[in-house]
Parts: sequence; structure tokens; C-alpha cells
Amino acid sequence: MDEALVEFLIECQENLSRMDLELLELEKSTDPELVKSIFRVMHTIKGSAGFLGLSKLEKLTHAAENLLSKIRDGSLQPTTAITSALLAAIDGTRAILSSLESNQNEGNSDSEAIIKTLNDCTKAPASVGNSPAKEAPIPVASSVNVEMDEALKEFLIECQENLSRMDLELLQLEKSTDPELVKSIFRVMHTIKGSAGFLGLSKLEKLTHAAENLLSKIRDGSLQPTTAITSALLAAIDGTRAILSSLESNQNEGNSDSEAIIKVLNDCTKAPASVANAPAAKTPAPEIKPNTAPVIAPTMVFPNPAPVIAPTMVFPRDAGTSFSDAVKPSTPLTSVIEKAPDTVSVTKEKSEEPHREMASALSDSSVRIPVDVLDKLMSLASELVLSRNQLLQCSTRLNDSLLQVASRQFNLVTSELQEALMKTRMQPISNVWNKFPRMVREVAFKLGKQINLQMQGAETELDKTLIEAIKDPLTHLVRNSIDHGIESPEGRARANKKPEGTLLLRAYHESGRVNVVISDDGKGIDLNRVKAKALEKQLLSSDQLSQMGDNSVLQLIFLPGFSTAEKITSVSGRGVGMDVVKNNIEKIGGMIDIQSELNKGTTIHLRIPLTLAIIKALSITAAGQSFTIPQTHITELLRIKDDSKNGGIEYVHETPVFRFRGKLIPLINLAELLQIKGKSETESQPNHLVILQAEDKQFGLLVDSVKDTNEIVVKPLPSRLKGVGCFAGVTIMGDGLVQLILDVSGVARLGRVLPKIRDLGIKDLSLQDEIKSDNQSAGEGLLLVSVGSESQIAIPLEQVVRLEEFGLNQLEKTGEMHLVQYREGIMPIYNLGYILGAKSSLESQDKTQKIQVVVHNYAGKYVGLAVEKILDTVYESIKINGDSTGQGIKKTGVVSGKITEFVDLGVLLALTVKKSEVVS
Amino acid sequence: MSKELSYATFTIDGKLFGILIEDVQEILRPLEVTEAPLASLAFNGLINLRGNIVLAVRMRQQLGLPTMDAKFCMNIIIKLRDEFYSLQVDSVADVVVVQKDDFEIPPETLPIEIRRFITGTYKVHSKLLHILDIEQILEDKSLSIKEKQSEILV
Repeated sequence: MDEALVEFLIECQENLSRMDLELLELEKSTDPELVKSIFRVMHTIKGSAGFLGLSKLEKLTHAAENLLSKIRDGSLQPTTAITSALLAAIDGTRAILSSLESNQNEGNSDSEAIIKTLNDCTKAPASVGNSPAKEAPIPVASSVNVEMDEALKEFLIECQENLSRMDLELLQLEKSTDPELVKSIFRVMHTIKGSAGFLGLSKLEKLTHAAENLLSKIRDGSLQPTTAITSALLAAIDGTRAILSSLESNQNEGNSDSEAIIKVLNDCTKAPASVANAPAAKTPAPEIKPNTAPVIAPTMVFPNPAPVIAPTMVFPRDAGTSFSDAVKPSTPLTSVIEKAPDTVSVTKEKSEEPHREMASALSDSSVRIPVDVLDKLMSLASELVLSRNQLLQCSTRLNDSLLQVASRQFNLVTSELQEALMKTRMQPISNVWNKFPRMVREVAFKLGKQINLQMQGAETELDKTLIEAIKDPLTHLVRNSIDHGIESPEGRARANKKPEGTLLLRAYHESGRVNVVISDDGKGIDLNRVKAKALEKQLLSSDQLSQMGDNSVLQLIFLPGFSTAEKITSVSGRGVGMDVVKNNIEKIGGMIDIQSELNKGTTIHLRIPLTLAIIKALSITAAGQSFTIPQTHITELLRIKDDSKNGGIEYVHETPVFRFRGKLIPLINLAELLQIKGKSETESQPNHLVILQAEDKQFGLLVDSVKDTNEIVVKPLPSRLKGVGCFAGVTIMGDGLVQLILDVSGVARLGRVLPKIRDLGIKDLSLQDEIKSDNQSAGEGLLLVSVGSESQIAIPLEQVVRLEEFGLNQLEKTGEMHLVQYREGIMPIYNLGYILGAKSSLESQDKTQKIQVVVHNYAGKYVGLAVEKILDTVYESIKINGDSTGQGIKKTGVVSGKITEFVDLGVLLALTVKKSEVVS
Repeated sequence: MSKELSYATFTIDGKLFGILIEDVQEILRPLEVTEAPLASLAFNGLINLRGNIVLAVRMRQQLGLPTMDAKFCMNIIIKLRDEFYSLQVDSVADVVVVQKDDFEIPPETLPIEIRRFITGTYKVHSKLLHILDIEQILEDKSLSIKEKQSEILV
């Protein structure tokens, strides 16, 4: 049961995200194929849910299926309302699934409302008319060929799996009459029937229908599974297989003779009804065998067992009544076995052989492998690369031709192995992108904007871990584009643009990296506003600003806390957590670049490495010690002459600089920076220059010598060395020695080429949070949170400085106070729920858990209030005002249809802080 | 319940130190160490142990003694929180079995630089066996990187 459920969950996840996309597509076109595909998926989920006894899910999907079937037969046109209802159904399904995954029950999410909406949608136009109904049948007929590729292929693979399982189950059924077994078989048969009907495979449908009938009799107990029945069912499976293999090779159902099987099935179904009780088992058995046996034989899976099992099963059954009776049927049986091979030789050639190969080719073409197995393989491959490097070094030293040939071969194979393994972890970027159409639709809808989302290169592949890593930054960037980039239709009209804004996502491979471009044709970033903000925040002086190029000004938005430090309302320009985006991208060795033109739009360019584990790197030495620099950061290698007048090092005061293509770039002497003194004290001045690109800055690194480039395996830096800040990791070189990998950005920071930024390790919540702007001004801005009690709590937005998320492990406890390091200072955290009397504690929870914290400025200091969940921000005038229900609560009212307690953080904290007497 | 404990012992500057034998992964002869610049003086070497990265801890430095070249140090490999460390010591001595009752906490008069690393002392034959607190040694941030870094930046 467990395994079945897990598989079901995985399958559903995949199907649901596809359905999301398809539904959105449906809004644009009424391609009947699309409807069918959606319908089929929904139907499958329903079927599986029913089988697994998930009644709630079944009800929900059933309602959705009904609605879809109306759309499918053309009696209903998909409107926005319908799409929304269906999307809601998908969400409902997701909620149930996630509850299943975590609690193994369907949870108590409210699906009734969704079902009602679905039913309303289904019923509404029923009265309107039948006119469009006629259009449908035509595409149905033509469907098979068109859909062959996707739906049919999937159906075939699914069937193959199901059929082989059914084979086994049927045989088991002969031994035990476990009702679960019957149900499972019935369900599979039913699914195949359903799919067949949907795909317009009438022959298959008829066959499976007959089998289903028989099975339903067994299921409801009106028929006992006898050998004859089992044989008939096995025959039906074989018949199904024959049709499937014909479908696979010729794309039609073939002319295999399924009528005979159907007849046998029907006989089985009817037989006991007329013959009734006791002898039922005996009589039909010998009669039917001759018909079924030929079909059984070609199975090959159980060529012998089928007939052999049959007699053994007959004996015990009849043994009780009369032994002589039992002997009789065994005679025709042996003749059957003899007869069988004849037929086999005929059918085998025709259908069996190709069917076998093709079927397995399809169903074997994908295997689910746990990720940790891949990870393990990957790390083994990494070790292999290491050994290869060592071997190659040895072989060049030893100068043995045989060894060299062998090692060259080894080299090739290793590279190929590594590449192939890398591919197993590659996933198309569409895995992340798939959720965007939905998100864009919703956000745009909420903001009253019209957005046309275009995606190019969704098939571009990159490593799974990277996919995970770019998920949040990408989501954030897309959201940003919709929120701040693209204007409202009115705004666009004023700027002489189409009311519909375009958001383009593009991904492509270039020079060993994956490039992701997010561009919009919105209002762009106003540099003057960025400058004003930088002044306001005292990040830079006006002198500095006036000297900065436009591009440098644009880079300011990546500074932490640049845009949203004081208020979470009215975010103007971009910059909500852009520092987090940048950090996340750089953490995986990527780069982010932004270009913007006022009123034309903004383009953000991400360059992401293909994989993390193995990188190309250059070895250099400084003061006798070797270091490694990731090649992606290296722009150029130069050898500098001693003569300073002629292209050598020059000095601005004491600081070395270098003329690089007409521009002065700063130089960092690596040995000096790292404070390493040459062991041999040879006075060799470092005379090699490695031009590096760190974020947007270029600088030169002075080193003694440049060695070779290698493919290196990155190993994590020991935690005690992480604080140094200029090493990205370590690697083991061919000579077996450990070498440090330089973190180019870190080196630049340490050498003061880049501003020093302290990473607080705090994830900016504004990533997930909807922070709303211009078009919402009516009413007081409220932040809605829940604290574990029934009602929701509203906090005036002007009292909120920021929303943060902390891991519980970031909290430190001093006496009764919880403290967290925040923005170069210490912030006390109070539990809002506890203050308000709800039962919740910061300690009882799992340490890895995250808490949501509302940051408030209390008496000039940051104070954090932990809440259970941040619900929403609303701009609503309060409808009903009730009295205060407790200390610190101003009033109660109804917000978004829920009773809400309004708190004044100032008053509340004054009470609390005094109570605990710990404020300094 | 056994009252006996086994310690792997080693000498640093003529004194006998020990850690629980269960904590020791292996003991290796001098290994080639890659220096990690800017790191704390006590933790500035990296060793390749069959593909695992081991951080070398200069015990002499940690205990405030004049340092010795890694070429002559024995390596006691231990594992803490999935990371490997090597305690670099002068020489390795026997495994010593002691009675729990012989344990004594270090004297208050012991200089704090050394005392913070020592949980206590056993009287063994003619010598004293000092028990090292591994966590303290590896967690110690006395020569913190940050301080050094800020020095550079100033």
C-alpha cells in the first residue's frame, strides 16, 4: 500500500504540473487534443484515488472530470471562470496530496467549495444548448493519429506495466480470493478500458469491457474465480497485449482476433448465472480451455505455468466431491497443451516477437532512480577523475609507451563516463518554468495587469541541484518584472505601448554555461530614483554618485537592504531582495547582470554553470605555494615586463595598477594578500598577471607563475576555514596534494576591489511575500498574520519594518530572551502568539524549522515578533468594529471575511517588555 | 559497568596527553601538509587522506608552545561532525588503560591557555596523563580568523 501511494504521489505531481500548463493553454485555444489530454490525466487521478480509497480526492477529481467531459464533448466552452475553477481543483488536489505525503491522510482542506464551483460550472450552460455538441465527434475520430505521439505512447507504457502486474495478480488470484487483489485487477482493467475508450481504440475497449464485466462479477462475489475464469482473463490480457503491440508498431489495433476472447469472457460472465451453483466450476472449465489456451501460450511469460497450474487447481477443487470427476477434465487439458504449440508457432512470428522488443523498449526507456544513487555515482566519478589525473601524470613521467596508450584510453573513457553521468542529473529548465505561466497569470490578475509570458528554450538542461538553486531567484525575478517592471494597462497606454506587457524568458547554452534571460518591456529602472535612494540611505555621497556610470548605478540595486529597509509598502523600482537573488546566483558560481532602459524595459541576464562538482580551473603559484582559480572568472593571462614605462606595473601613490586595454585596473599581489612568504626567498618579482572578473569589477592578480589548467573536483572547504573568506573550496591535485581554490569574489573583497559585504545569512522573505504598490491605496494597509489561535491578527503596515525568516537554530537564548543577530546588531524576538495568550512556544519546535518574524522598530531598536504564519497584506477599510478582546488589542473587526484582532505593536510591546523586565 | 577507560596517548613537548581511543580514526606518520594562508595559526594545514580533506591542527600552537615543522609531526586523525581533523603531535605513545577513580580535575593554578583544553588528569605510573577536550581544541576560536582579517583590513 505504501509503495503504491508513493508512486501515485510522484505520478500525480508530474501530471498536475503538466495540467497547469495545459489549462492555461486552454484559455487561449480550444484545441480538442488539449482537452482530451487534461481529461485523461484527471481521469487517471480519479481512478487511482478511488482505488487507493482516497474518497475526498476522488470526489474532487470526479467533479473536475465531469466539467472536463462537458468541455470535451463540446457542450461547454472553456471560459476564464471554468479555467479558474479547474485550477482551483488542481490546487485542491495538490493540497490533498501534500497532506497525504506528510500525514498520510487526506487532511481537512476544504475541497467542498471547489467541488461546488466545479459543479456550478458544469451545470450552468447545460440549459444553454446543445448546438456545439456536434462539433466534437469529428476531432475524436481523427484523434488517434495526432495524439499517437504523446498520449498513446504514455498509455502504452502504462499498460505494459499494468499488464505484467496483472498477470501476476491473476495467477495469485487462483490461489487466494483476496478481495483486494480482485479490486486491484479490476481497477487496472477499468483504467485501460477508460483510456482505450478515450483514445478511440474501440476494439481494445470492447475487449477490456468484457473482461471488466467478468471481473466486476468476481468483485461483487457473484462469481468465484475458477481456473477457467482466470484463463479467460489471462487470455484477455494477452489479447490486450496483442492490440497494444499492433498499436505500437502499426498505430492501429491490428486484426488479431479478440472476438473469440470476448465470447469466452462473456460466457464466463453469464455461465454461472444459468448453471447456478455447485457444478459451475466443473463444466465450463474443459469447454473453454481449448479456446483460451492458444492465446495463453504466446504469452511467453508463463508458457508452461499456465496450463500446468490449471490442473493442479482443478484437483483440490474437485477432490472433495469426486475424484473420478477430476480425472476426466485432465484429459482434454493435456490435449490442449499439445495443441498449443501449433498455434504458438503461428502467432509468435506475427505479433509476439516485435511486441516483446518494442514494448520493453518503450517501458524500459525510463527508469526512476533515487537521486542519492545518482549522487553517489557522481561522487565516485569525481574520484575517478582524480585518479585519472594522477595516472596521467605518472604516465608522462614514466615514459612507457604501453602505459601511455592505456592511460590515454582510460582518460577518454573517464571523460565520457563523467559526461554521461552528468547527463543523468540534467533536467530541462522547464521544470522550474512550468510554474511560471500559472504564477504570472495569478499575479497579473491580482495586480490588474495584462501580461503575455513567452518562454524560449525551455528544453535547455542543467544540473538538478542548480535547478533547485535557481528556482527561488528566478521566481523572484519574474515576480519583480510583473510587479514593478510592467505597467498597468493604463500606464502602458500613456506610454504608447500595447496594453499587454511582454515578459520573455529565454534559456540557452553558451560557452559551457547556461544563460537565462528575463526581459520585460515595462517601465525600466529610473536611475535618478536609484541615485536618490542611495543618497537617502547614505550609501554613497553625491560626489561618488555623479562619477558613477549608468551601469554602476544600476548595480546599486543589488546592495543588501537597498530598497526596502524601512517599509514594506510601496516598493518603488526594483530591489526587493535583489541582494538575495544575487547572492544565491553567485553561490552557485553564476553571474547576474542587469540592463535597463527607462520606459523601454529591463533585462536581467543570468549566467549559470552547467554543474558544480567538476570545474575547469587554472593552477597558479604565489610565493611558492600553488592555488587554483576557477576558469570561469579568468578573462586573460598576461606576462608583464619589468619595465614600468613600457606596459608594466604603475603606481597610484603606493597602489599598483595596470593599463589593461587602455583602462587602469587595480592589482592585487596574491602573496601579499595572503601573507605568504616565499620559502626559498628568491627575489623573483611576481610577473604574471591573471585578469579576473569579480562581479562587475575587473582586477589583476599578481602571481609568480601560471601552470596548467585541469578539470578539478571541488571539495567543500573545512568549516574552520570558511571564515577566511577568500577560498571557495579545496581540491586534490594529480600529485595527491591538497590545493586551495580561490574564491575570486572573496579575493576581490579582501583586496578591497569590491565593497565588503557581510552576509547575514538571513533569507529575505520578500521573495515569497506579496508587497503591493501603487494601485492599492484605499483603506489602511494591514499585515495579516496568524499566531496559532483561531482568529487572525492584523498589524498596521506602518508599524512593520520588514518581514524576515529565521531558522530556529539562529536564535540564541539569553535568560528568558530569544535573540538573533540582525543587521549588525542584536534583535530580541518575542513570540506574538505567546504575548496574546495563544499556546505556542519557540522552543518546542524542531530546530531546523523556520520562523516568520515581523520586524518592528520599537523605541529606535529592531524588535522581532515571531508569528506562526504570514497570511497576506490587505488594503481594506474595516467593516465591523468590535471591542478590544484583550491587552494590546485595539479592536476587532472583519478583514477578508474573517474575524481579525487589530494589535498595536507599540502598546503591546510596552506591556510585554515591562512584564519581562529584560529590555536593556 | 567497567570502570576502566582506554586512552590513546601521545606526547607534546615532553608531556603526556590522551584522548579516548574510540575517538581516534587512525594514526599516521608525518604527512605532506598544504598551508592555508590567513587561517588561524592553529588550523592552517590541509592533508589529503585518501580523497578526504583533513584539517591539520597544530597542537603545539594550540597549547602555546613553540611550533614544530609538520614534517616531524605524527598525525592523530579524528572525526568530528563529519569532518576530519588531524592532531599534530610530537610523538605517539601507548594505549593506556586507566581507572576512572584516578581522575582528577586540573589544578586551578594551571594557566588558562592550557587549562581550557584539558578536562582532567590521570595519575599513571610515574607520569601524569592529561586528557584533552577535543571539542574545545577544534572549536577554539581564540586566534580567530576574523581578528586577523580585520587587522589586514585596517
